Amino acid sequence: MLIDRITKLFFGIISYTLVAVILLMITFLVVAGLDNISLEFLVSFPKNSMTEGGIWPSILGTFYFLSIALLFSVPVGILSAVYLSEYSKESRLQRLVLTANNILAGIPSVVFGMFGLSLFSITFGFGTSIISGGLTLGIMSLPYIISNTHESLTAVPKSYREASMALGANKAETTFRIVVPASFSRILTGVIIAVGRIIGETAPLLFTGAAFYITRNPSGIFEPAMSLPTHIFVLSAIYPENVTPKLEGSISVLLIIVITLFISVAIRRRRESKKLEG
Amino acid sequence: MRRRRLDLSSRVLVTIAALITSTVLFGIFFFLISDGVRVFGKISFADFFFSARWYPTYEDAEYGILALLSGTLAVTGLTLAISIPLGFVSAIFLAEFSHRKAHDFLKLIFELMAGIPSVVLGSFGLKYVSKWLMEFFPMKVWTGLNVFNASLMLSILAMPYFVTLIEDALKAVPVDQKEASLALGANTTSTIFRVIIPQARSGILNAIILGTNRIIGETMVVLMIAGGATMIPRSIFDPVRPLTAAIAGEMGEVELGSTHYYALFMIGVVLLAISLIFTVTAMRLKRGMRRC
Repeated sequence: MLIDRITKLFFGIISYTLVAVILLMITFLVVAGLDNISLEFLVSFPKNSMTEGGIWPSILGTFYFLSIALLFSVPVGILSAVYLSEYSKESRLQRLVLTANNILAGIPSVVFGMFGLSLFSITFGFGTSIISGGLTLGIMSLPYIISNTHESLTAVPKSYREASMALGANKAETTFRIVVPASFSRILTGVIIAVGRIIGETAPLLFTGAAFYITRNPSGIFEPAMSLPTHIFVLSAIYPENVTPKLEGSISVLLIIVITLFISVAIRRRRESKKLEG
Repeated sequence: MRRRRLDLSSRVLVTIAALITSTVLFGIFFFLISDGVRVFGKISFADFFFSARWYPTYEDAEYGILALLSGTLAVTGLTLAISIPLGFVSAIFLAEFSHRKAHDFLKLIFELMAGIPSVVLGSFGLKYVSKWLMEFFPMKVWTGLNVFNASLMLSILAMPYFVTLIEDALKAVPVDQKEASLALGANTTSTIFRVIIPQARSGILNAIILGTNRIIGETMVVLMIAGGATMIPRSIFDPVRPLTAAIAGEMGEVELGSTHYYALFMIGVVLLAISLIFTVTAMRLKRGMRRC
Protein backbone atom coordinates (compact mmCIF):
# COMPACT_ATOMS: atom_id res chain seq x y z
CA MET A 1 0.00 0.00 0.00
CA LEU A 2 1.14 3.52 -0.75
CA ILE A 3 0.97 4.73 2.83
CA ASP A 4 3.22 1.86 3.96
CA ARG A 5 5.75 2.70 1.30
CA ILE A 6 5.75 6.34 2.35
CA THR A 7 6.19 5.42 6.02
CA LYS A 8 9.00 3.03 5.21
CA LEU A 9 10.76 5.60 3.01
CA PHE A 10 10.36 8.38 5.56
CA PHE A 11 11.51 6.28 8.54
CA GLY A 12 14.32 4.76 6.46
CA ILE A 13 15.64 8.17 5.42
CA ILE A 14 15.72 9.33 9.04
CA SER A 15 17.42 6.16 10.29
CA TYR A 16 20.03 6.07 7.55
CA THR A 17 20.77 9.79 7.85
CA LEU A 18 21.31 9.36 11.56
CA VAL A 19 23.63 6.41 11.04
CA ALA A 20 25.50 8.27 8.28
CA VAL A 21 26.10 11.28 10.54
CA ILE A 22 27.47 9.03 13.28
CA LEU A 23 29.71 7.11 10.88
CA LEU A 24 30.96 10.40 9.47
CA MET A 25 31.79 11.69 12.93
CA ILE A 26 33.61 8.52 13.98
CA THR A 27 35.56 8.39 10.71
CA PHE A 28 36.41 12.09 11.01
CA LEU A 29 37.76 11.62 14.54
CA VAL A 30 39.76 8.51 13.69
CA VAL A 31 41.23 9.98 10.49
CA ALA A 32 42.02 13.38 12.03
CA GLY A 33 44.47 11.72 14.39
CA LEU A 34 46.04 9.15 12.09
CA ASP A 35 48.77 11.53 10.87
CA ASN A 36 49.87 12.10 14.44
CA ILE A 37 50.17 8.45 15.33
CA SER A 38 53.61 6.98 14.97
CA LEU A 39 55.57 4.37 16.84
CA GLU A 40 57.29 7.18 18.70
CA PHE A 41 53.91 8.69 19.68
CA LEU A 42 52.78 5.35 21.11
CA VAL A 43 55.88 4.52 23.12
CA SER A 44 57.25 7.82 24.44
CA PHE A 45 56.44 10.02 27.40
CA PRO A 46 54.84 13.44 26.93
CA LYS A 47 57.35 16.27 26.89
CA ASN A 48 57.41 20.06 26.89
CA SER A 49 53.99 20.74 28.50
CA MET A 50 52.38 17.97 26.45
CA THR A 51 53.22 19.58 23.11
CA GLU A 52 55.77 16.88 22.25
CA GLY A 53 56.26 13.21 22.92
CA GLY A 54 53.56 10.62 23.17
CA ILE A 55 51.02 8.70 25.17
CA TRP A 56 52.96 5.69 26.46
CA PRO A 57 52.15 6.31 30.17
CA SER A 58 48.44 6.69 29.35
CA ILE A 59 48.35 3.40 27.47
CA LEU A 60 50.19 1.66 30.28
CA GLY A 61 48.01 3.34 32.91
CA THR A 62 44.81 2.32 31.14
CA PHE A 63 46.12 -1.23 31.20
CA TYR A 64 46.90 -1.05 34.95
CA PHE A 65 43.46 0.32 35.85
CA LEU A 66 41.80 -2.26 33.62
CA SER A 67 43.72 -5.18 35.17
CA ILE A 68 42.81 -4.23 38.74
CA ALA A 69 39.19 -3.63 37.75
CA LEU A 70 38.86 -7.03 36.06
CA LEU A 71 40.66 -8.79 38.89
CA PHE A 72 37.80 -7.66 41.11
CA SER A 73 34.77 -7.67 38.84
CA VAL A 74 35.29 -10.88 36.84
CA PRO A 75 35.44 -13.34 39.77
CA VAL A 76 32.90 -11.54 41.96
CA GLY A 77 30.58 -10.87 39.02
CA ILE A 78 30.66 -14.38 37.57
CA LEU A 79 30.28 -16.07 40.96
CA SER A 80 27.39 -13.76 41.88
CA ALA A 81 25.68 -14.67 38.63
CA VAL A 82 26.32 -18.37 39.30
CA TYR A 83 24.68 -17.87 42.67
CA LEU A 84 21.68 -16.19 41.06
CA SER A 85 21.08 -18.79 38.39
CA GLU A 86 22.27 -22.04 40.00
CA TYR A 87 22.32 -21.80 43.78
CA SER A 88 19.36 -19.71 44.79
CA LYS A 89 15.76 -20.63 44.55
CA GLU A 90 13.40 -17.70 44.97
CA SER A 91 15.06 -16.79 48.27
CA ARG A 92 15.27 -13.41 49.96
CA LEU A 93 18.97 -13.16 49.23
CA GLN A 94 18.33 -13.86 45.56
CA ARG A 95 15.81 -11.04 45.33
CA LEU A 96 18.17 -8.77 47.21
CA VAL A 97 21.09 -9.51 44.86
CA LEU A 98 18.92 -9.08 41.76
CA THR A 99 17.58 -5.77 43.02
CA ALA A 100 21.04 -4.61 44.11
CA ASN A 101 22.39 -5.44 40.67
CA ASN A 102 19.63 -3.49 38.90
CA ILE A 103 20.15 -0.46 41.12
CA LEU A 104 23.93 -0.60 40.72
CA ALA A 105 23.49 -0.64 36.94
CA GLY A 106 21.61 2.66 37.11
CA ILE A 107 23.97 4.58 39.38
CA PRO A 108 25.93 7.33 37.56
CA SER A 109 29.63 6.61 37.15
CA VAL A 110 30.59 9.83 38.93
CA VAL A 111 28.79 8.57 42.06
CA PHE A 112 30.90 5.40 41.93
CA GLY A 113 33.86 7.78 41.81
CA MET A 114 32.76 9.49 45.04
CA PHE A 115 32.28 6.12 46.71
CA GLY A 116 35.75 5.06 45.59
CA LEU A 117 37.22 8.31 46.89
CA SER A 118 35.52 7.91 50.25
CA LEU A 119 36.19 4.18 50.72
CA PHE A 120 39.46 3.37 48.96
CA SER A 121 41.30 6.70 48.88
CA ILE A 122 40.34 7.99 52.32
CA THR A 123 39.03 5.20 54.58
CA PHE A 124 41.53 2.59 53.37
CA GLY A 125 44.21 5.24 52.89
CA PHE A 126 45.12 4.24 49.33
CA GLY A 127 45.07 7.90 48.22
CA THR A 128 44.87 8.78 44.55
CA SER A 129 46.29 5.59 43.13
CA ILE A 130 46.04 2.81 40.59
CA ILE A 131 44.41 0.54 43.14
CA SER A 132 41.77 3.10 44.21
CA GLY A 133 40.89 3.90 40.59
CA GLY A 134 41.01 0.27 39.48
CA LEU A 135 38.77 -1.00 42.27
CA THR A 136 36.33 1.86 41.65
CA LEU A 137 36.11 0.89 37.98
CA GLY A 138 35.79 -2.75 39.02
CA ILE A 139 32.77 -2.01 41.18
CA MET A 140 31.28 0.13 38.43
CA SER A 141 31.57 -2.71 35.91
CA LEU A 142 30.17 -5.38 38.26
CA PRO A 143 26.52 -5.06 37.07
CA TYR A 144 27.52 -5.46 33.39
CA ILE A 145 29.24 -8.73 34.14
CA ILE A 146 26.53 -10.04 36.48
CA SER A 147 23.62 -9.27 34.14
CA ASN A 148 25.33 -10.74 31.13
CA THR A 149 26.62 -13.87 32.88
CA HIS A 150 23.25 -14.42 34.52
CA GLU A 151 21.58 -14.25 31.12
CA SER A 152 24.12 -16.64 29.58
CA LEU A 153 23.73 -19.18 32.38
CA THR A 154 19.94 -19.16 32.25
CA ALA A 155 20.17 -19.80 28.49
CA VAL A 156 21.85 -23.18 29.13
CA PRO A 157 19.11 -25.84 28.67
CA LYS A 158 17.85 -27.54 31.80
CA SER A 159 18.56 -30.95 30.26
CA TYR A 160 22.31 -30.32 30.59
CA ARG A 161 21.98 -30.03 34.35
CA GLU A 162 19.63 -33.00 34.64
CA ALA A 163 21.89 -35.21 32.54
CA SER A 164 24.89 -34.32 34.66
CA MET A 165 23.04 -34.88 37.93
CA ALA A 166 21.68 -38.17 36.65
CA LEU A 167 25.24 -39.35 36.03
CA GLY A 168 25.99 -38.77 39.69
CA ALA A 169 27.71 -35.39 39.56
CA ASN A 170 27.01 -33.08 42.45
CA LYS A 171 25.92 -29.45 42.24
CA ALA A 172 29.42 -27.96 42.11
CA GLU A 173 30.59 -30.40 39.43
CA THR A 174 27.47 -29.78 37.37
CA THR A 175 27.81 -26.01 37.67
CA PHE A 176 31.52 -25.59 37.06
CA ARG A 177 32.19 -28.48 34.68
CA ILE A 178 29.00 -28.42 32.61
CA VAL A 179 26.94 -25.23 32.89
CA VAL A 180 29.69 -22.59 33.05
CA PRO A 181 31.79 -24.14 30.23
CA ALA A 182 28.64 -24.44 28.06
CA SER A 183 28.06 -20.70 28.33
CA PHE A 184 31.73 -19.71 28.37
CA SER A 185 31.68 -17.94 25.01
CA ARG A 186 28.72 -15.74 25.95
CA ILE A 187 30.22 -14.94 29.35
CA LEU A 188 33.40 -13.85 27.58
CA THR A 189 31.36 -11.55 25.32
CA GLY A 190 30.02 -9.87 28.45
CA VAL A 191 33.53 -9.43 29.81
CA ILE A 192 34.63 -7.80 26.54
CA ILE A 193 31.73 -5.34 26.82
CA ALA A 194 32.83 -4.53 30.37
CA VAL A 195 36.40 -4.02 29.11
CA GLY A 196 35.11 -1.55 26.51
CA ARG A 197 33.22 0.40 29.18
CA ILE A 198 36.14 0.42 31.63
CA ILE A 199 38.62 1.59 29.00
CA GLY A 200 36.48 4.57 28.02
CA GLU A 201 35.45 5.61 31.53
CA THR A 202 36.75 8.96 32.72
CA ALA A 203 34.78 10.64 35.48
CA PRO A 204 35.42 8.23 38.40
CA LEU A 205 39.14 8.21 37.66
CA LEU A 206 39.45 12.00 37.86
CA PHE A 207 39.51 11.94 41.64
CA THR A 208 40.42 8.36 42.52
CA GLY A 209 43.39 7.42 40.40
CA ALA A 210 44.36 9.80 37.63
CA ALA A 211 47.60 11.69 37.32
CA PHE A 212 47.42 14.45 34.72
CA TYR A 213 51.06 14.55 33.76
CA ILE A 214 53.80 12.14 34.78
CA THR A 215 57.28 11.76 33.42
CA ARG A 216 58.13 8.35 34.78
CA ASN A 217 56.25 5.14 35.27
CA PRO A 218 54.41 4.60 38.57
CA SER A 219 56.51 2.33 40.75
CA GLY A 220 53.59 0.44 42.26
CA ILE A 221 49.83 0.21 42.58
CA PHE A 222 49.74 2.83 45.31
CA GLU A 223 50.76 5.61 42.94
CA PRO A 224 48.50 7.45 40.51
CA ALA A 225 48.74 6.81 36.77
CA MET A 226 47.63 8.49 33.57
CA SER A 227 44.92 6.88 31.45
CA LEU A 228 43.86 7.45 27.86
CA PRO A 229 40.43 8.97 28.54
CA THR A 230 41.64 11.25 31.35
CA HIS A 231 44.54 12.26 29.09
CA ILE A 232 42.01 13.24 26.39
CA PHE A 233 40.06 15.22 28.96
CA VAL A 234 43.15 17.03 30.18
CA LEU A 235 44.40 17.80 26.67
CA SER A 236 41.07 19.15 25.48
CA ALA A 237 39.81 20.98 28.55
CA ILE A 238 42.90 22.17 30.40
CA TYR A 239 45.80 22.63 27.98
CA PRO A 240 45.84 25.36 25.28
CA GLU A 241 45.32 24.88 21.54
CA ASN A 242 48.95 23.96 20.81
CA VAL A 243 48.44 20.37 22.04
CA THR A 244 45.69 19.69 19.46
CA PRO A 245 47.78 17.27 17.32
CA LYS A 246 48.46 15.18 20.43
CA LEU A 247 44.77 15.33 21.35
CA GLU A 248 43.68 14.16 17.91
CA GLY A 249 46.18 11.32 18.03
CA SER A 250 45.00 10.20 21.48
CA ILE A 251 41.33 10.25 20.43
CA SER A 252 42.21 8.20 17.39
CA VAL A 253 44.02 5.56 19.43
CA LEU A 254 41.20 5.28 22.01
CA LEU A 255 38.53 5.06 19.31
CA ILE A 256 40.43 2.38 17.39
CA ILE A 257 40.74 0.27 20.57
CA VAL A 258 37.09 0.69 21.54
CA ILE A 259 35.72 0.14 18.02
CA THR A 260 37.78 -3.05 17.67
CA LEU A 261 36.34 -4.34 20.94
CA PHE A 262 32.74 -3.55 20.01
CA ILE A 263 33.04 -4.97 16.49
CA SER A 264 34.40 -8.19 17.99
CA VAL A 265 31.41 -8.24 20.35
CA ALA A 266 29.03 -7.77 17.41
CA ILE A 267 30.69 -10.60 15.48
CA ARG A 268 30.60 -12.93 18.49
CA ARG A 269 26.92 -12.14 19.13
CA ARG A 270 26.00 -12.88 15.55
CA ARG A 271 27.85 -16.18 15.69
CA GLU A 272 26.12 -17.09 18.94
CA SER A 273 22.65 -16.30 17.63
CA LYS A 274 23.37 -18.37 14.51
CA LYS A 275 24.43 -21.27 16.71
CA LEU A 276 21.15 -21.03 18.59
CA GLU A 277 19.14 -21.08 15.38
CA GLY A 278 21.10 -24.19 14.43
CA MET B 1 34.61 -36.93 51.02
CA ARG B 2 36.70 -34.63 48.87
CA ARG B 3 33.89 -34.24 46.39
CA ARG B 4 31.46 -33.29 49.11
CA ARG B 5 33.84 -30.79 50.59
CA LEU B 6 34.33 -29.17 47.17
CA ASP B 7 30.58 -29.08 46.71
CA LEU B 8 30.10 -27.35 50.02
CA SER B 9 32.96 -24.88 49.55
CA SER B 10 31.70 -23.78 46.15
CA ARG B 11 28.28 -23.16 47.66
CA VAL B 12 29.94 -20.96 50.27
CA LEU B 13 32.03 -19.20 47.62
CA VAL B 14 29.14 -18.17 45.39
CA THR B 15 27.12 -17.03 48.40
CA ILE B 16 30.01 -14.86 49.51
CA ALA B 17 30.22 -13.31 46.03
CA ALA B 18 26.50 -12.61 46.11
CA LEU B 19 26.86 -11.03 49.53
CA ILE B 20 29.73 -8.83 48.30
CA THR B 21 27.54 -7.56 45.47
CA SER B 22 24.73 -6.56 47.78
CA THR B 23 27.14 -5.12 50.34
CA VAL B 24 28.63 -2.86 47.66
CA LEU B 25 25.22 -1.29 47.12
CA PHE B 26 24.71 -0.65 50.82
CA GLY B 27 28.28 0.62 51.07
CA ILE B 28 27.64 3.21 48.37
CA PHE B 29 24.53 4.47 50.15
CA PHE B 30 26.29 4.45 53.51
CA PHE B 31 29.42 6.34 52.43
CA LEU B 32 27.58 8.95 50.38
CA ILE B 33 24.85 9.64 52.89
CA SER B 34 27.11 9.69 55.95
CA ASP B 35 29.35 12.33 54.32
CA GLY B 36 26.52 14.12 52.56
CA VAL B 37 24.27 14.83 55.54
CA ARG B 38 27.09 16.61 57.35
CA VAL B 39 26.58 19.59 55.07
CA PHE B 40 23.38 20.34 56.97
CA GLY B 41 25.42 21.09 60.05
CA LYS B 42 26.61 24.24 58.26
CA ILE B 43 23.89 25.00 55.76
CA SER B 44 20.14 24.84 56.20
CA PHE B 45 18.13 22.34 54.23
CA ALA B 46 16.21 25.13 52.47
CA ASP B 47 19.38 27.03 51.51
CA PHE B 48 20.86 23.92 49.97
CA PHE B 49 17.86 22.89 47.89
CA PHE B 50 16.09 26.18 47.16
CA SER B 51 18.88 28.67 46.65
CA ALA B 52 20.32 29.11 43.17
CA ARG B 53 23.57 30.55 44.49
CA TRP B 54 26.42 28.03 44.22
CA TYR B 55 29.60 29.93 45.07
CA PRO B 56 31.75 27.44 46.99
CA THR B 57 35.04 29.29 46.51
CA TYR B 58 33.89 32.77 47.56
CA GLU B 59 34.88 34.25 50.89
CA ASP B 60 31.25 33.99 52.02
CA ALA B 61 30.71 30.64 50.34
CA GLU B 62 27.18 29.71 49.31
CA TYR B 63 25.95 26.23 48.51
CA GLY B 64 22.55 26.33 46.80
CA ILE B 65 22.02 23.68 44.16
CA LEU B 66 18.90 25.05 42.44
CA ALA B 67 20.87 26.44 39.49
CA LEU B 68 22.79 23.17 39.12
CA LEU B 69 19.54 21.23 39.25
CA SER B 70 18.00 23.49 36.62
CA GLY B 71 21.08 22.87 34.46
CA THR B 72 20.55 19.13 34.73
CA LEU B 73 16.86 19.54 33.89
CA ALA B 74 17.53 21.77 30.89
CA VAL B 75 20.16 19.48 29.39
CA THR B 76 18.15 16.32 30.09
CA GLY B 77 14.93 17.81 28.69
CA LEU B 78 16.50 18.96 25.44
CA THR B 79 18.38 15.68 25.02
CA LEU B 80 15.14 13.74 25.43
CA ALA B 81 13.40 16.04 22.94
CA ILE B 82 16.09 15.23 20.36
CA SER B 83 16.79 11.58 21.05
CA ILE B 84 13.38 10.09 21.81
CA PRO B 85 11.70 10.95 18.47
CA LEU B 86 14.78 9.94 16.47
CA GLY B 87 15.29 6.79 18.52
CA PHE B 88 11.63 5.91 18.18
CA VAL B 89 11.63 6.29 14.39
CA SER B 90 14.80 4.19 14.06
CA ALA B 91 13.44 1.51 16.39
CA ILE B 92 10.23 1.23 14.34
CA PHE B 93 12.25 1.05 11.14
CA LEU B 94 14.49 -1.67 12.61
CA ALA B 95 11.64 -3.71 14.06
CA GLU B 96 9.07 -3.47 11.27
CA PHE B 97 10.54 -2.30 7.97
CA SER B 98 14.15 -3.41 7.60
CA HIS B 99 15.31 -6.61 5.97
CA ARG B 100 17.85 -8.78 7.64
CA LYS B 101 20.99 -7.31 6.06
CA ALA B 102 19.92 -3.69 6.55
CA HIS B 103 18.87 -4.55 10.09
CA ASP B 104 22.25 -6.09 10.93
CA PHE B 105 24.13 -3.13 9.46
CA LEU B 106 22.10 -0.48 11.27
CA LYS B 107 22.27 -2.43 14.49
CA LEU B 108 26.06 -2.66 14.22
CA ILE B 109 26.38 1.10 13.84
CA PHE B 110 24.08 1.70 16.82
CA GLU B 111 26.20 -0.71 18.87
CA LEU B 112 29.34 1.19 17.89
CA MET B 113 27.59 4.44 18.74
CA ALA B 114 26.89 3.09 22.21
CA GLY B 115 30.58 2.31 22.61
CA ILE B 116 31.94 5.80 21.92
CA PRO B 117 33.54 6.95 25.18
CA SER B 118 31.79 10.04 26.54
CA VAL B 119 35.08 11.92 26.86
CA VAL B 120 35.53 11.64 23.09
CA LEU B 121 32.10 13.17 22.52
CA GLY B 122 32.97 15.87 25.04
CA SER B 123 36.17 16.62 23.19
CA PHE B 124 34.36 16.66 19.83
CA GLY B 125 31.76 19.10 21.17
CA LEU B 126 34.43 21.28 22.73
CA LYS B 127 36.81 21.47 19.77
CA TYR B 128 34.46 21.36 16.78
CA VAL B 129 30.72 21.64 17.51
CA SER B 130 31.17 24.77 19.63
CA LYS B 131 32.88 26.52 16.71
CA TRP B 132 30.24 25.39 14.23
CA LEU B 133 27.51 26.69 16.52
CA MET B 134 29.19 30.11 16.72
CA GLU B 135 29.36 30.29 12.93
CA PHE B 136 25.84 28.97 12.41
CA PHE B 137 23.93 31.16 14.84
CA PRO B 138 26.19 34.21 15.20
CA MET B 139 23.37 36.41 16.48
CA LYS B 140 22.01 34.17 19.22
CA VAL B 141 25.06 32.37 20.53
CA TRP B 142 27.47 34.10 22.85
CA THR B 143 29.28 30.92 23.82
CA GLY B 144 29.65 27.68 21.90
CA LEU B 145 29.57 25.76 25.16
CA ASN B 146 25.90 25.64 26.11
CA VAL B 147 22.81 23.53 26.73
CA PHE B 148 22.25 22.93 23.02
CA ASN B 149 25.77 21.66 22.31
CA ALA B 150 25.74 19.37 25.36
CA SER B 151 22.32 18.01 24.44
CA LEU B 152 23.42 17.25 20.87
CA MET B 153 26.37 15.20 22.12
CA LEU B 154 24.32 13.54 24.88
CA SER B 155 21.77 12.52 22.26
CA ILE B 156 24.48 10.50 20.53
CA LEU B 157 25.01 8.64 23.80
CA ALA B 158 21.31 8.20 24.57
CA MET B 159 20.03 7.30 21.12
CA PRO B 160 21.41 3.75 20.80
CA TYR B 161 19.95 3.03 24.21
CA PHE B 162 16.50 4.17 23.13
CA VAL B 163 16.73 2.37 19.79
CA THR B 164 17.70 -0.97 21.34
CA LEU B 165 15.21 -0.91 24.21
CA ILE B 166 12.27 0.38 22.14
CA GLU B 167 12.98 -2.15 19.40
CA ASP B 168 12.95 -4.92 22.02
CA ALA B 169 9.64 -3.61 23.37
CA LEU B 170 8.10 -3.56 19.88
CA LYS B 171 9.35 -7.04 19.10
CA ALA B 172 7.94 -8.39 22.36
CA VAL B 173 4.39 -7.78 21.11
CA PRO B 174 2.95 -11.19 20.13
CA VAL B 175 3.04 -11.64 16.37
CA ASP B 176 -0.56 -12.88 16.21
CA GLN B 177 -1.78 -9.42 17.27
CA LYS B 178 -0.06 -7.97 14.25
CA GLU B 179 -1.31 -10.72 11.97
CA ALA B 180 -4.87 -10.31 13.22
CA SER B 181 -4.75 -6.60 12.44
CA LEU B 182 -3.32 -7.21 8.97
CA ALA B 183 -5.88 -9.94 8.29
CA LEU B 184 -8.66 -7.48 9.10
CA GLY B 185 -7.39 -5.36 6.26
CA ALA B 186 -5.40 -2.74 8.17
CA ASN B 187 -2.20 -1.59 6.52
CA THR B 188 1.21 -1.96 8.16
CA THR B 189 1.42 1.70 9.14
CA SER B 190 -1.84 1.76 11.05
CA THR B 191 -1.07 -1.67 12.51
CA ILE B 192 2.13 -0.24 13.95
CA PHE B 193 0.52 2.87 15.38
CA ARG B 194 -2.83 1.42 16.47
CA VAL B 195 -1.88 -2.12 17.53
CA ILE B 196 1.83 -2.62 18.15
CA ILE B 197 2.79 0.65 19.83
CA PRO B 198 -0.19 0.70 22.22
CA GLN B 199 0.60 -2.88 23.22
CA ALA B 200 4.27 -2.09 23.73
CA ARG B 201 3.67 1.09 25.70
CA SER B 202 4.87 -0.14 29.08
CA GLY B 203 8.06 -1.46 27.47
CA ILE B 204 8.53 1.87 25.72
CA LEU B 205 7.95 3.76 28.95
CA ASN B 206 10.50 1.49 30.60
CA ALA B 207 13.02 2.37 27.87
CA ILE B 208 12.39 6.08 28.35
CA ILE B 209 12.83 5.84 32.13
CA LEU B 210 16.12 3.93 31.88
CA GLY B 211 17.42 6.23 29.14
CA THR B 212 16.53 9.35 31.11
CA ASN B 213 18.35 7.97 34.13
CA ARG B 214 21.49 7.56 32.05
CA ILE B 215 21.30 11.05 30.62
CA ILE B 216 20.95 12.60 34.09
CA GLY B 217 24.01 10.71 35.32
CA GLU B 218 26.26 11.42 32.34
CA THR B 219 29.23 13.46 33.43
CA MET B 220 32.04 14.07 30.96
CA VAL B 221 29.94 15.57 28.18
CA VAL B 222 28.29 18.14 30.45
CA LEU B 223 31.53 18.83 32.31
CA MET B 224 33.30 19.67 29.07
CA ILE B 225 30.65 21.39 26.97
CA ALA B 226 27.66 22.55 29.00
CA GLY B 227 29.53 25.79 29.71
CA GLY B 228 30.01 25.54 33.47
CA ALA B 229 28.11 28.73 34.41
CA THR B 230 26.08 28.57 37.62
CA MET B 231 22.89 30.15 36.33
CA ILE B 232 19.31 29.24 35.63
CA PRO B 233 19.18 29.04 31.82
CA ARG B 234 16.74 31.24 29.89
CA SER B 235 17.50 29.87 26.44
CA ILE B 236 18.97 26.70 25.00
CA PHE B 237 22.08 28.70 24.10
CA ASP B 238 22.85 29.59 27.72
CA PRO B 239 25.73 27.85 29.50
CA VAL B 240 24.83 25.72 32.54
CA ARG B 241 26.53 23.64 35.20
CA PRO B 242 24.63 20.39 35.77
CA LEU B 243 24.93 18.43 39.04
CA THR B 244 27.35 15.84 37.69
CA ALA B 245 29.59 18.53 36.18
CA ALA B 246 29.83 20.30 39.54
CA ILE B 247 30.97 17.09 41.24
CA ALA B 248 33.50 16.08 38.59
CA GLY B 249 34.81 19.61 38.16
CA GLU B 250 35.24 20.47 41.83
CA MET B 251 35.93 17.17 43.59
CA GLY B 252 39.57 17.14 42.54
CA GLU B 253 40.44 20.43 44.23
CA VAL B 254 38.21 20.40 47.28
CA GLU B 255 39.66 20.23 50.78
CA LEU B 256 38.72 16.97 52.53
CA GLY B 257 36.20 17.47 55.31
CA SER B 258 35.29 21.02 54.27
CA THR B 259 31.71 22.21 53.85
CA HIS B 260 32.30 22.22 50.10
CA TYR B 261 33.35 18.56 50.25
CA TYR B 262 30.20 17.57 52.15
CA ALA B 263 28.05 19.68 49.81
CA LEU B 264 29.44 17.77 46.82
CA PHE B 265 28.65 14.50 48.57
CA MET B 266 25.10 15.71 49.20
CA ILE B 267 24.80 16.33 45.46
CA GLY B 268 25.96 12.73 45.04
CA VAL B 269 23.15 11.66 47.36
CA VAL B 270 20.66 13.61 45.23
CA LEU B 271 21.93 11.83 42.11
CA LEU B 272 21.78 8.51 43.92
CA ALA B 273 18.18 9.17 44.98
CA ILE B 274 17.18 10.13 41.43
CA SER B 275 18.70 6.97 39.95
CA LEU B 276 17.13 4.83 42.70
CA ILE B 277 13.66 6.21 41.96
CA PHE B 278 14.06 5.72 38.21
CA THR B 279 15.44 2.18 38.49
CA VAL B 280 12.82 1.02 40.98
CA THR B 281 10.02 2.51 38.84
CA ALA B 282 11.41 0.69 35.80
CA MET B 283 11.62 -2.58 37.75
CA ARG B 284 8.00 -2.23 38.94
CA LEU B 285 6.89 -1.56 35.41
CA LYS B 286 8.72 -4.61 34.12
CA ARG B 287 7.22 -6.85 36.77
CA GLY B 288 3.77 -5.54 35.86
CA MET B 289 4.48 -6.32 32.22
CA ARG B 290 5.32 -9.91 32.99
CA ARG B 291 2.19 -10.40 35.03
CA CYS B 292 -0.25 -9.58 32.22
